[in-house]
Amino acid sequence: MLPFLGFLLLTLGWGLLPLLPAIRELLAPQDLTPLELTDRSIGKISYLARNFRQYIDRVLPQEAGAGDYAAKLMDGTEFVRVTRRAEQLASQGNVEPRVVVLDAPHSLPGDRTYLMEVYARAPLTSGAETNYRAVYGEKELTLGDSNRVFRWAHANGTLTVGPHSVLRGRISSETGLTLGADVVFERAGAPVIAFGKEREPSLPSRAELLTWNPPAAAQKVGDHLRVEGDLDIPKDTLVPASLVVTGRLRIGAGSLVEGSVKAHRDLELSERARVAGAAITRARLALAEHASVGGAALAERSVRMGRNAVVGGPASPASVAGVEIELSEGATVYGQISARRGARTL
Amino acid sequence: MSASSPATHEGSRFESLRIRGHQGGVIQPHRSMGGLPWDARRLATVAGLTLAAVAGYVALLPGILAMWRWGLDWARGRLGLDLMLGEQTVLLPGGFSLRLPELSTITPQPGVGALLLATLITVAALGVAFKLPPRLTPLRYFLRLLAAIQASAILFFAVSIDPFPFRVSDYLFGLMSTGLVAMGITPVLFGLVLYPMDLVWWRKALVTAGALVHFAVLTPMLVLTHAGLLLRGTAVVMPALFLGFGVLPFAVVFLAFYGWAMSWPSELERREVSAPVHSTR
Amino acid sequence: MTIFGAILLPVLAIVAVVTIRHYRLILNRLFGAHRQPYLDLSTATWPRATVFIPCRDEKQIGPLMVALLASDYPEGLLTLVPIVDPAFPAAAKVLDDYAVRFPGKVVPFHRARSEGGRGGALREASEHAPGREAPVHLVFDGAYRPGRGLIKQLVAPFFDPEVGGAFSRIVPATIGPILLPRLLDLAGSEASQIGQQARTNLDQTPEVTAPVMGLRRAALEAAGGWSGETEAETLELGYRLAAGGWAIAYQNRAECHEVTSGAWAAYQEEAGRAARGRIQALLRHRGRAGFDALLRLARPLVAVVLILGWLVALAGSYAGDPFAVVSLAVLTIVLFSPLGSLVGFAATAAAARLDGHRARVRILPFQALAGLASTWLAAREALAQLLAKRRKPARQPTRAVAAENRVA
Repeated sequence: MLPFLGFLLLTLGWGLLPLLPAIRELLAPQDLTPLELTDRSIGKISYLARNFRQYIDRVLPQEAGAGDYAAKLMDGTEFVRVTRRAEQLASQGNVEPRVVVLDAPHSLPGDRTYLMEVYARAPLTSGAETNYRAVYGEKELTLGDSNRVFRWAHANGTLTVGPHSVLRGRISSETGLTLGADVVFERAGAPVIAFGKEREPSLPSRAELLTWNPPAAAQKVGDHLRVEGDLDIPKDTLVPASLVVTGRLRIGAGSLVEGSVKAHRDLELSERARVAGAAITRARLALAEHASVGGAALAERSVRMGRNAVVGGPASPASVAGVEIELSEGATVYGQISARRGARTL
Repeated sequence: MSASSPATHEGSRFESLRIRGHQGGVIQPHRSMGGLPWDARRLATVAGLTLAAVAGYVALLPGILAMWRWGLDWARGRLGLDLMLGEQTVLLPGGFSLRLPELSTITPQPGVGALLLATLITVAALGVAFKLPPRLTPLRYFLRLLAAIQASAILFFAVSIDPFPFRVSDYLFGLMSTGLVAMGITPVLFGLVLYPMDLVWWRKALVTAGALVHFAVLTPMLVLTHAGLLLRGTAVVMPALFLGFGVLPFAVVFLAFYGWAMSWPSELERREVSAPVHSTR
Repeated sequence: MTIFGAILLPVLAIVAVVTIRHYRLILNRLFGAHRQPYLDLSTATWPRATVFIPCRDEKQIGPLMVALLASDYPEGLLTLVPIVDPAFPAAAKVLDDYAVRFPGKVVPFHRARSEGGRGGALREASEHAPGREAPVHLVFDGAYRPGRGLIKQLVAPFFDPEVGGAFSRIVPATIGPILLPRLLDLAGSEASQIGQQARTNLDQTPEVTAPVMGLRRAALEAAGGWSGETEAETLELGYRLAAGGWAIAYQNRAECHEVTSGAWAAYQEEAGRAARGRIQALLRHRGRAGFDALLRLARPLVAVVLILGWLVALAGSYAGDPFAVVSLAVLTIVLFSPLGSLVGFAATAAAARLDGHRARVRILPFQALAGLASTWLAAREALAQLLAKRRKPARQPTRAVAAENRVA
């Protein structure tokens, strides 16, 4: 009996062996932390920039008198403070490894790389071919041709971006963002974002429009009309409702939809067409010349904004979002642009 | 237009600036969005590991069976188990065959005393199940399940006029076959649920080998243990023994290995690569 | 084929179908195209929104009110309407104090009678309370702790005219060393990351399983309003909205903390209620819900089928049927997975890794043990619901729960 009992225990022990990690975790847990809610960044593209601003306020020592000098922030990070001589920056191989604090207006020379944040307390103009990890401007910030930003860029004044620049991460301004040609970026937020000169939405005159006759098969669902299949709205037509279309939706030139629209396939706004509310599609969204959307413009694939197309308005901020976004000259967004794989000005 | 084309592809020189946070760590996408990379290399790894593990198992099977034969023979007498050791040839598709060790003995039928004892133990187990504190609720249900199975066996032996359809030798052979199936299916299951994960390939191979070795040792141990319990407890304990302590241990051991492997560090984190966010094309 | 084989084959087929579908969800979440279409909608002209809060527990309502008042939703556009039942005077007092401190923003709605459970309270408030005319209604329970940005995240999908309802992910606020909260945390991860998000990716209707959701008022009215005759009012309403042509948006990025007691009695009550609620919704919608929706609503019935199949397999084994013996072995393992899926464990582990967790996945074997309890509970409550002529929604804690809470 005894040998069998011993063998029984041995079998039990061997069987329980792989459960040791499980038993250990059960009795002496190493991983109990609940998920932390990380929603603080929602709603503000400038979240990282703001954090930096608060950080620099905490750690920048209060110096007696201005001047150019290098020192350490209160957390030990090296920084260099420049009031007069910006040429001292990035002196070794055109790379500046320290946090840079600029006290006076500067035009930085081009072909430089700043590996840490640049904090400009006065207007800053950046030379061509400059690379920033991140840059914060308390006033106006002008990035030159072929600049690159890797984490974020923010200006409390206007932020102007030179052509052929690549802006990863977040770019934001409290005043306005002006983009040059062939600029690539991921997320941008400002009261107005424009490729070139900003535009305001052109509003079709209701009186000149013909009221739309929905197709017979259109179904009223709550507060919108649902149309199965594709739908083409003729030009110069007034649609006094919100629409959900299970196929492709094309809104004719000069037409006005007074509600919001949703299309399960491509959504196209022809020239001067306007959607007063939101324009949402599960595929591609195309805004032709002078087309406008009063609210959100969301696409699960691409968004193309034609010349002088407008999303949002001066008093009605809105978001444009898609996997890829193209902006033609004059395209203007009042609010925010987010493109997972990148947005580009043509 | 794709922004992953030249305009946004800075090359590795500045990639570090882009993906690293202020304290140097790689910034991962939010947990709600990140996925796992999938490419031809990963598919090849998944398929390769699965095929290699199955092939290894098949190649080692004669050796495993020989080890079982030796182990069963060595242990049965020492444990005081009245078992005869023979062999059974199992024909497999493709003209293959396996010679499995087979233990045989008389199947002890429960008498009135055994049935009464089994009833007492079952009632006691049920009583314990109901008395356990709420924090042990999972154990409560497990005990109830075992009690239900045991009660069905007692009922069968008490009222059935048909003989009990299973002999101890059939049972032990079935248990051994369960072990073989568990070993054979483990690489396939891992191929479906473990190999596609972001773990380095040699860890996946290691856990597979570990599980197979464990099953290879566990199976004959279980066979002998069950034989001993059956010979002492009679056939009335066979259903509860098989379901509660025959089938389930293989499943639990598999889960234990799998859970342990899935707790290992991510290969993406080790290589300091950002998890992908798969977008609609 | 024997009679046992004829019965068990469909049971095993159901297990196979459930397992394959579940595996597809896992693969999709890990490797498939990801959809969170409203994720980047954070700058907008926000509409007015009213938050309705059925209140019972005066200890929980305070922290919820604090969290809601801290929301970054634009000032003047958010109204909080706690729904006060006469049966809970302590909660009423707390809420009246808030109304005095935040006039116009916190507007308690005092019901004359407690009827129709939570659904009845919401129905009454959504039809009569101040703030009901807001285009967006939100619903919270006392056990939830939203972050500052959650209201915006829940409202964002309603810019899409097709969306009738929206809901967020629920995560436990604390876990602690005892087993149940840890298992629930793992199960919650799986339900959100795999179940809900993969369904969103695959364009299936996600299920509103938590009592926290947002609603378009027009959709609520078109669907007939809240129901006071079901125990899973948000689940049932979600299916009703979908049947009416509305989309339901799941926001995986939007996360809300939930405070749970960690007590088994409370869990069993909640699991039972959820199972009964599913059957109620299934009976109501069986004529018009799609196949996928029906399969999900019928999940407690899958537990019934599994247990009955297991019993048949047991009987068949005693009859010496070899197919029954194999089926019995398989079904015994399946009983330990509450979803009836053989890859439930893989979904749990994958979800935990997506959440950045590692060591906690090791307790998977103990989750299997708890799965048996869940399967039994679901089956028992589903049968009870099917056999009962009418069951009044019960939202009051039972004596067992109250006793366990005292002990805990």
